[in-house]
Amino acid sequence: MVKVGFYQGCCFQGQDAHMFETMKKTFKAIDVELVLLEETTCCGGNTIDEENRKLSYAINARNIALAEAKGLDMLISCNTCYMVIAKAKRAMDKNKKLREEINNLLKEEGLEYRGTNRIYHLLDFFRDVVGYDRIRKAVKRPLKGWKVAAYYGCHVLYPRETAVDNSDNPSSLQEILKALGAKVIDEYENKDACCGYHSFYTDKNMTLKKLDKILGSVREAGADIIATPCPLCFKSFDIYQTNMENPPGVPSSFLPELMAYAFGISKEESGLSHHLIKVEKD
Amino acid sequence: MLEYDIVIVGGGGAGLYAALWAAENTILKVAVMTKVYPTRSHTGAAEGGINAVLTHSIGDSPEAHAYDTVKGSDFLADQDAVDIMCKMGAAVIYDIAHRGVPFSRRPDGRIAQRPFGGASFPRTCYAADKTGFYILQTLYEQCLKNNVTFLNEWFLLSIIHNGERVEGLTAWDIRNGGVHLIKTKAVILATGGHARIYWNRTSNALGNTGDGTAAALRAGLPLKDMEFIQFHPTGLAKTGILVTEGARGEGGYLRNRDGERFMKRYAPEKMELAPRDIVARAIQTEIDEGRGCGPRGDYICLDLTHLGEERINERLPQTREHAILYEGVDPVREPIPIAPTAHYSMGGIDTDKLGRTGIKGLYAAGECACVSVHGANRLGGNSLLDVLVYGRLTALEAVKYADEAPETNPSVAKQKDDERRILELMESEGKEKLPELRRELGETMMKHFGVFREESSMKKGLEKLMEIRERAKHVKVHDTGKRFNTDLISVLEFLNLVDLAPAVAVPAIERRESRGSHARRDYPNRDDKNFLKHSVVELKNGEYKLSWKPVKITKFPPEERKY
Amino acid sequence: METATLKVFRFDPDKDKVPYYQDYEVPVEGTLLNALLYIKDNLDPTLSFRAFCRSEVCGSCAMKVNGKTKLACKTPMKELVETWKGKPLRIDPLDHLKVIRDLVVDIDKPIEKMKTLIPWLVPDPRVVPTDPMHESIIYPEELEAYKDQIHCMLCFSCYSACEAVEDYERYRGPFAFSRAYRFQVDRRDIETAKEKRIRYAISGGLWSCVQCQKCLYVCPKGVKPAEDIQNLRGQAVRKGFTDKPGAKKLKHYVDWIYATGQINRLYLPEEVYGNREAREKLTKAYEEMGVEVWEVPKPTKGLMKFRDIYLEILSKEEKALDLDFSHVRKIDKMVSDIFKADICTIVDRVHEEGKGGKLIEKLKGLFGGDNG
Ligand SMILES: Cc1cc2nc3c(=O)[nH]c(=O)nc-3n(C[C@H](O)[C@H](O)[C@H](O)COP(=O)(O)OP(=O)(O)OC[C@H]3O[C@@H](n4cnc5c(N)ncnc54)[C@H](O)[C@@H]3O)c2cc1C
Ligand code: SF4
Ligand code: SF4
Ligand code: FES
Repeated sequence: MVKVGFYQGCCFQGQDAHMFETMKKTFKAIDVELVLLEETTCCGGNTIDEENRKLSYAINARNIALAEAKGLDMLISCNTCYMVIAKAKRAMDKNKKLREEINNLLKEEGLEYRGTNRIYHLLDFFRDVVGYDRIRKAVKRPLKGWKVAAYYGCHVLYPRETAVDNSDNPSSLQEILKALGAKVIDEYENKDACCGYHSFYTDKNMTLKKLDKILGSVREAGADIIATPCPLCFKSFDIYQTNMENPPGVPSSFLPELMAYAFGISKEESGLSHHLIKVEKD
Repeated sequence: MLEYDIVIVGGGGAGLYAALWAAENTILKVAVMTKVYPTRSHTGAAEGGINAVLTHSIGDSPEAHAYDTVKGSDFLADQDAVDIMCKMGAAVIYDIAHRGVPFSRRPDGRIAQRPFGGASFPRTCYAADKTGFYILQTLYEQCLKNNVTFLNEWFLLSIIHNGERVEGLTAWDIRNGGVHLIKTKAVILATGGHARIYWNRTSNALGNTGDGTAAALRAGLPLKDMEFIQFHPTGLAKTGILVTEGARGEGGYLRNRDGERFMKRYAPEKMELAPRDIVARAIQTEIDEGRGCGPRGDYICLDLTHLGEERINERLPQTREHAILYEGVDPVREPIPIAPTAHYSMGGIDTDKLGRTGIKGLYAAGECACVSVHGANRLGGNSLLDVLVYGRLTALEAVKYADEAPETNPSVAKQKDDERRILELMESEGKEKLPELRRELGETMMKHFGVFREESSMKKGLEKLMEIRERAKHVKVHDTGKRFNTDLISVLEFLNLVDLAPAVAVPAIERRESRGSHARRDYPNRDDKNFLKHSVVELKNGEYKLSWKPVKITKFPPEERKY
Repeated sequence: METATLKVFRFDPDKDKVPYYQDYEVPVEGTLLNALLYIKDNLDPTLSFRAFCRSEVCGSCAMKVNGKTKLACKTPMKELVETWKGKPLRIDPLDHLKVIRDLVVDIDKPIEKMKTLIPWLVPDPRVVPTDPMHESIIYPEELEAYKDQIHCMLCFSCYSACEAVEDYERYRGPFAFSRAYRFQVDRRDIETAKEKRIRYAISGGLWSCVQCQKCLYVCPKGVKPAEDIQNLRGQAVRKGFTDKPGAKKLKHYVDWIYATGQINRLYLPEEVYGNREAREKLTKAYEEMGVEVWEVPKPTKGLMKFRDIYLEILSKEEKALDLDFSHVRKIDKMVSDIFKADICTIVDRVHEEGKGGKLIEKLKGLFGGDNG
């Protein structure tokens, strides 16, 4: 059993609180124990950086330090949280002055950023720690006949310094989906377009245009559903899609939901049946 | 027909600075014509820095700078011009700093300076290791600010003059195709150097083909001191791409196959910081005498490993990147394989100390010009200074001239001529292949007119060059399209190279002495009695005619050049 | 010798009705630029592309390889072959720019767009001496503020890859914002120019950037446009341009994270767009599905100390917004109304009392299960 610190971010709170339970079960099936890093806070969502970048670094140095204090590596399921925290880690590792300054603040809480743990996103965690094989073995209900469009989202692939896969030609998501027994669709026109999540509250139009492109081309490619390892991309697809003038009605899923379902957890509990755009496929 | 008052040909450091000073000092119509977008000019590749005595350079003086320059030039520079350039140093540096060039700074906030080869004082101002890049970008920004007119991706073909005054130009519009006649009162040529005559063994950009210099030659203008080509001692072994002198300035060592810091045998005091020509010859000698590194013994090692990663990253980031990318070597861990590479053309269009040529209204500035402030050998960091000083001076001269000059009336004959010439190239039967001939040209130049030279070899070389020049008439332009025809441009550039190569060879043979970058095995010593003079080459009826011209000596009598 | 196939985009509008691809077999050696020069020298002199310095300083040779923007002279052929696992390499001109011919694109438009952001120094006479023989003093630390931005070489890779350019015609382009920002943090630049740049940046799409980070990824020179855009947004808000949705979103983040350690997605629509309905609708939709909806996030353990750190940094650093304490108090009240205790008590008690605690018991319904 591998133990890893789980960073929840904002995506396992509120109406999504139940998802952590599902995650725990899902990971148990592949011999991973998720330890909730309960004192962590929101990573700032790549927005606090607009207020002040150092604040963003400090918040996330604290988040990392909390995992370090437990002697755990950190697993992050959200692309943006992952990128923001990984950027903070790079900054802390590279810039001694910054590190000193922030550690001085963390001292009060009895914390220290030491730079000793690793930070994983779901994708590299599955690839490097769990292994595709173990995922394949845990599958009890293969996603036979599911045509799943693989959608990475931007912040796991860009920028280069924090990317978890080959940014130009990534493969981990396809491998995982294949291990679940799905038919992967990874050649659709706008697979690399941004999901538009982050511009929903800065320029809504941009989001809607992006959704139109991505979902349109997913539909064209004949997929039943679009799957992403990022809960924000998922929210954009599921929730913001309903803001479109003519929502194409393409169902979407957050990767762990599909895993849960394939591992035999009920559709209800997997979260798949709690989407605004219904996942009809069984 | 396009009409301007002043056309500046070239958008590098010299061209942009000229444009800026012209734009700010006149309401005349000024245009910059350039074959690549300005920020892509080769000035952007200059790394090391720019020399100038600043107001806070305590202990240093413009005189000392002038002396170093003259000494570095092996006394071939014109001392009145050197004096002008060195005295203007601080003014141009402050001017571009005020416009935004992010010069590296000392802790007290003043512009930092570092030691550079051949300088008696640390007077090279730098901006990390991208000095030329930042200067070029800043000048471009300032030109945009001043709404300078750009003819981007236009290729100069011919200069039109009436024997007394310049009247206009012809140029090829690369983007749309077509030869254009341009009417103008004044022209500043700022088209850069011609080290590409060495084709593959050069630090220069693909397009540093001396177009303006060749056009001037064809227009009957004299070229000066063309035999002097500076070889940079440290070109990456595989590509000729430069490793900045800053790498030695920061304390890098040169080692031969035995790990010996061999510079102690050539310049015991200055060691690695001796002037370029001396270091280049030392390296070439080590290689020629079998002490080179690598399986073929054809390079030398530049060792930076003792500087440590942090210092390398801070001071020489680009050097590190290039070594990894183009040589496959990380200088933090391993020494960099290097060999001399053709780097700078001291010679060029003959101008006076204010950048004027013999034709009224026609000026030359920057690397295409030979004022001469560099004589037989340019000091590192002096070229950017030359570029700025003469960019500015020629701009002011051109403004003054164009203000009063009469209307010109360029004949369309030249345009027709150039149109025909291009058509012929496209219709040629194409006996000769451009890539092969170009390679031959480069190899001939490197073999016979390289770091070391010798009479019999050079004579053979010249024959070969003339043969190549003849054969070049049979090169075909395969691409018959008008739009962005890069095949045509490559051929036009090559034709410029073959016109310039003999202009280098002829005086090289006749200068029977060693001086600066011109190192003859058969005449190893400097001969002031016979050769303390500028060579001048002209093209008359298809023949290269050589003559000589005196050197201006004011303060510094020639002495032996020792470091 | 190992070879690879390049499928190169060809188009000469004078001759071709439509673009087509031409295959060339090239050695897997050196950079992509070497391969293109190889084609030009040995296979087809009519192929047009730009290249000049061949050493990644001039910015001429950006293009796309299998859809991904690359600088040809910086991209080893070997790396491409490895990445694409033997697949043919499709070489295309940059996106969002008009093709002049083959791989050559028209770059005048992005230059014109950039010009609207005043990307040059407008000297402040109080800092920059008018006397040309007088040096202006700049401390080395000051250079740090724009040390990345000044590396931009106008290769337009970022313009090609940009998600905002793709869907918003007026968007100025990542590089343009970086080059403008460079002067926003230069002490020598006059305040009035800084103000103008912000105005023009806003009308040039400052809030339309989707923060995809592709510009960071493709920039061959380590410029970080997406981050400069964040910096500019911060400056815009600080200068009082707070009417845009993005500014309100920032306020939400700043206040809620301070107050609870989390943002509150339920309240975003109403705090940004004044849209109450969204919350009600979403709540209803979830409740219908049987999913519990929390009005507020559970305040994080250690919240009080977290707040100290947060405040300490904001008190020392330049920031976009001041914390709005009246808003924070409102949030505190929401929390204490729901949890029936004041915020300090909640944070301490939720965690001290552990699983069997009374408060937890009370909250179970709200949390929907055990969240640690
Ligand atoms: C790698 C390298 C490093 C260097 N480092 C230093 C250094 O550290 N310090 C220093 O002082 N010097 C250095 N130099 C030398 C210095 O950079 C050059 O001498 C100087 O930049 C030349 O500037 P320029 O304006 O004369 O020409 P360039 O910058 O070469 O510009 C020439 C311009 O002419 C245009 N042009 C050319 N032909 C035509 C045509 N036919 N039609 C239209 N336009 C045309 C081009 O488009 C270009 O805009 C270095 C040189 C190299 C190669
Ligand atoms: S982060 Fe913004 S500027 Fe950068 S590429 Fe994405 S949308 Fe364009
Ligand atoms: S920011 Fe980078 S990618 Fe964009 S134009 Fe400048 S150098 Fe090119
Ligand atoms: S050729 Fe200059 S950047 Fe590639």
